[in-house]
Amino acid sequence: MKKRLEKGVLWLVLLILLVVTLGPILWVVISSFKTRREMLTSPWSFPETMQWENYTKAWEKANFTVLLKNSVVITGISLLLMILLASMVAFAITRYRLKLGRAVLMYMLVGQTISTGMIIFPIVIMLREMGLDSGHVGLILTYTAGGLPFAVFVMEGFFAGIPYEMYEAAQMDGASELSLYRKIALPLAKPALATVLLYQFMWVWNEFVLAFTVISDTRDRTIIVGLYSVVNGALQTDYVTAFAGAVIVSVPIIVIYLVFQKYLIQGLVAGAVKG
Amino acid sequence: MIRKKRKERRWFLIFTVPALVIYTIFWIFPIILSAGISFTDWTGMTKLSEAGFVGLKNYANLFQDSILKIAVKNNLIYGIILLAAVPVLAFFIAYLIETFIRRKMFWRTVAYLPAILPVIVTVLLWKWIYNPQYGLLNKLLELVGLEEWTTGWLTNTGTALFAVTFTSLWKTVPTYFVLFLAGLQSVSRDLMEAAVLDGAGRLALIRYVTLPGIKRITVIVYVLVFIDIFRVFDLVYAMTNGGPGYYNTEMILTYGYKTAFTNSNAGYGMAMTTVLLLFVILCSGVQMKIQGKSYD
Repeated sequence: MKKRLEKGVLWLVLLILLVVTLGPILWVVISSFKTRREMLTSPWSFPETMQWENYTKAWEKANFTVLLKNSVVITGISLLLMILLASMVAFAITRYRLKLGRAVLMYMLVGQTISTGMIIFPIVIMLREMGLDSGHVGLILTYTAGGLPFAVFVMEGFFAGIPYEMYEAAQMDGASELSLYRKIALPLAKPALATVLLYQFMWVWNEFVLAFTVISDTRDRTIIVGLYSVVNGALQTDYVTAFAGAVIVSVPIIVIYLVFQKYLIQGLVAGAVKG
Repeated sequence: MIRKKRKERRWFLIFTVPALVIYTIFWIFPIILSAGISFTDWTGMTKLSEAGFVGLKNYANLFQDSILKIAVKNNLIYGIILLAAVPVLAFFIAYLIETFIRRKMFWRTVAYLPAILPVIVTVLLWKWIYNPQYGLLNKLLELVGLEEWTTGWLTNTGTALFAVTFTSLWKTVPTYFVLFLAGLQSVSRDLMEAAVLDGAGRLALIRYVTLPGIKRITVIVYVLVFIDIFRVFDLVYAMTNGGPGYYNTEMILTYGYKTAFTNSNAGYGMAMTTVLLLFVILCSGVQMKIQGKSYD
């Protein structure tokens, strides 16, 4: 009896969870295939015929062919830089165990308190002064810099678990410091790298404030900013197109999540939780 | 020995300097720049070199700003709701999934999904849910016979702040849910089994085994949520931009942004963000103290 009650409560809660989180998302996906009229008159039903042209329209309206390329380039390069630089720092801190290492770690962690909302004004001014307000270089370097604290934090926690003897043994065999980093630390730290990749992909790909404010030329924008302009322009009249655009933008991030979901907590357990 | 030390130092620098340079220029320097601007009367429209030094005037003005007072009040209401709801809900969902569910991956994904979506997609979705004419929320209320409750949730000055706060909850609970998942996985299985053998009931298990086992992560979550509250920006910016009416959903950082970019009062806007940053750094210091303490 008590068991059954427990089960009942459990499934009720899960049902609520399903309705609240998945419900609205599924509703957007379904609505994105409707005609405008259909969406207003029968919001709860399935589309009578699939309106694929909502997607082609969203794609053209937001110029996604160009913006998708921008997003891939910006996300790809900043993640690569972030992971390369952060793993080097984490390696140096855990391998040499200098007093300087603690100082570097502390200095990096200060950056974790800074958010895009705080930095947006000075970064725009600074990039303008440096001539980096057009093109992608300024944005890429800002993302790289802003992502370093979390990346170093997670990787340092993981690298610290690599037995020191492994380095010493390899050193006996004449391995250079560079190959200790490349052939021992990096391969062993794959779960931490994957965790960082997942979280920072979600940050950079989804990031809106910096991308929107820093880049002035519409052709240099990211896909999220493109969606925002469609949403702002079209929400009053052409919401089905906006919904289709939202689905297009969200697909890559969901794919990345599904591929890397195993690492969502794995890397955190080493870094944040055990500390 | 000394030679080895020197060699290690050299390699340490080779590995860390590239990251430190980029990090300092593109993440730390802007903050120093904004602190510098906060001591000037710079509008943001002219050349930076034309800014005049005004000392602490901008900081003194903070205390006489009635709009800032509203923003702080909104931010606190928003914050209290988040602080009360996020850790509890996140723990509850994580606990249910970890304890009772066999197909964990599916339910984890369901619970985590809102955290993955871009803010702009979240805003688009919820703006539509709150829409006065066609919004899902109103349709739902009509469906269950509560027509008199229907309203334009984001345009009604009485409901806008709560509508924004709920949207933020929808996105924030999943974010912290993951930390509790990680925490729950580190709770000792042996301890759990021993307690079950001793005849401990479900509630006793939670109280005496689970909760003490995740004490550290719980404290961390509370501090992180506390810090997040004051950094709320993009959701509000994209959803209401501080409106409707007289700053009904204005937060500290959105007001700072408006002051610097829209009202051309860069010096004053930067005074706001600088104070906020110092406050957040202070809170993080407390967090690190907690994290640094080994918990046994």
